[in-house]
Amino acid sequence: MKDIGNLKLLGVIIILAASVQACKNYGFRANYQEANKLLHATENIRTKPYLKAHMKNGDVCILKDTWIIDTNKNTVFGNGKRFDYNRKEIFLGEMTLHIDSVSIFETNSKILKPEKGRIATLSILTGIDVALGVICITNPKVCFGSCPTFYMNEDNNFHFADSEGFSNAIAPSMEYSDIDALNNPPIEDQIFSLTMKNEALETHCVNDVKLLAYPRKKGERIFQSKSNEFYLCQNDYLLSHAEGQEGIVTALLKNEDRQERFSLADEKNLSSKEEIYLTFDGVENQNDLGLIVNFRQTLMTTYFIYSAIGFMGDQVGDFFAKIEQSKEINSSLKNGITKELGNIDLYALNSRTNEWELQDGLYETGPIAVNRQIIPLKIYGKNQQIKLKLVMNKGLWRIDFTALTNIKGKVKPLEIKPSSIYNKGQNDLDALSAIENPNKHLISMPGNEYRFHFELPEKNMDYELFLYSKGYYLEWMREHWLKDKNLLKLHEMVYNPKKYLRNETKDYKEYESMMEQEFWNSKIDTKTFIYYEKN
Amino acid sequence: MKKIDLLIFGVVFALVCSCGTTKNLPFSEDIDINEHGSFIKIYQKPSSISGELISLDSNEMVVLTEKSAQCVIVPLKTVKKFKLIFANSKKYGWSVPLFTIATAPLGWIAVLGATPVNIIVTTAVSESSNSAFTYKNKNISFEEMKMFARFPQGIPTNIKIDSIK
Repeated sequence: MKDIGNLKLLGVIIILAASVQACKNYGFRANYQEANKLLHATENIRTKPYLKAHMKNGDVCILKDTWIIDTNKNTVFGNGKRFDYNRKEIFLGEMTLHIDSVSIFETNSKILKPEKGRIATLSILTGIDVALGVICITNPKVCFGSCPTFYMNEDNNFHFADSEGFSNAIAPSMEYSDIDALNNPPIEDQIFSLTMKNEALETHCVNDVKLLAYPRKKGERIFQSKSNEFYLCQNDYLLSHAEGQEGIVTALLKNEDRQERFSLADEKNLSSKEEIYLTFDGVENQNDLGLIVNFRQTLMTTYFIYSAIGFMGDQVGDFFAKIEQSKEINSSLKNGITKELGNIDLYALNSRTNEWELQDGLYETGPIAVNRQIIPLKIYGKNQQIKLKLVMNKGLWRIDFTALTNIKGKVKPLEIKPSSIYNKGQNDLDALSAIENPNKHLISMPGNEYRFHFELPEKNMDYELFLYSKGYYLEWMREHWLKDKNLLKLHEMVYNPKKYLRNETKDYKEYESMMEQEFWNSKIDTKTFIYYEKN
Repeated sequence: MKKIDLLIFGVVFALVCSCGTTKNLPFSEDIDINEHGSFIKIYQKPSSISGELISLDSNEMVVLTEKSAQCVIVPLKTVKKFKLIFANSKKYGWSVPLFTIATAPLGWIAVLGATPVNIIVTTAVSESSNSAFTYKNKNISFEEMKMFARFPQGIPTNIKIDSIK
């Protein structure tokens, strides 16, 4: 429980629960068998308590706070009610009781504000819920996820998602396939299972799910490139030094520990670049090098997707119909902002010319699962020190890990279709049939979970696994988004993304720090999960 | 997962169903003008006894039972476990489903923490309210319990036990 967010949450629960429990034990009642003791006990009390006189015959008299004891006459005088032994009221008004007829006097102090603790607790809880509600209403982009998430361990939450499928496919015509490295631990069983979850207010239409597997020996890894080529690699050269605009960031990028390096967006223009300089020392084999990068996005693109739907307002259905019918709009949506924000571009320093040379770029939408990809390098010359530079949009990317590796060659993984699909513990033949048929979609609604089983070709063989998923999803319109309708902004976003990104900066910056904080407050320490350790 | 859902449903159902008040018991603000004894529940086998505490001495207690509206004598040596309620508490069972439902629009935040926190806190509030004006056998001695009987002085000799209602 290192995470501050979790500690805060725990603190809230403990404080609230403690304040609830703090209201017990009342020493409010006292009995007196002698009038003198009663007199002494009540003489310094400014407001006398009600007096209950339990009579010897079983009656009880309850006198208001004006009662008086006359020690000379040995009587108690007061105004109140008298009840018989079955507690039926038999007298109301002024009465004089002879003390000898009273068996026991009883007084009760008022219990002051007994509900105070509970009301305070519910008030605090209401305050927290309202605050969260305000955050979600004013900034709903924080509160909901997107696209199907896949888990090797079905009990994990989305912070440990091993893959997220087709994040950009927000309409049927935008359907595409996506391949993600699962970074799986050594395989011990011939059956490999993955759980697909729908954790958002969306309808997921999944056309295909399959595994891509390639056998690996000890010390070997297979990485995919942006263009989905697969490289068999060995030897890792860990990062020696990394520096960004904020200073040295080596510790954040050196290990696969989910301690990520990220920055906040530029304050004047959301479309602004930044650079990170990477140095690798002691690279003994400079042939066929590739840079491994573990990365994912911040919430910036999630914000844009939800903003676009919000701008459509009550015409969201019409716009999605147009997206389906018009290739031009479809293409503008795909290429507008995405193109403007750009890739994570990798440059290598040519030691002979001392110039930065572009190698390639990486891009994958989605803030949830970490992507693990490789960029093959074109480096000339023999130098054990390799200097690289990442150029990317400020505030858009989270980078966890960078390392160099030697590429042994290109490989083609095996395709493995699911052998069975389980839904709520039951073998779901319809789901399997939908996945097997290229003309059908498996429909997954919010809260649905499907467990896919794959049979690996050989026993006692270790494989590097990748997940192939194809489909699209339909975002559910939220009522509070309707008020965001702004067709001019939508037009600007699609057809003039450069201007939109500049104009949207102020609004986005207002949300950014809060979005990040809310999103990551619930982050759980990943170090306890062994499958994030390097093989 | 299914077990957890059922558990949550059970807790909520139990809390919502526990919204009644006990007959003849005052609310805490009227504790000083209540003419009846406190409510006692004695856990015994084969069946528990519950009702108004009429009197208590060093050997036995008399309880006017809810079921039969008649007094029963319970020897103290047979009483191992009991609960004494001296006032009706405000009920907060409604807060469990209400606060839980209220977190639904929070999306991920609800799943990640808001809903469980709301269930835990409101359940604690409701449970604390249910036991607010209660003494259990470990919190009070028989001697102290006398103060909470209808007749703290004991049943007067002129009253026949069968006539107590």
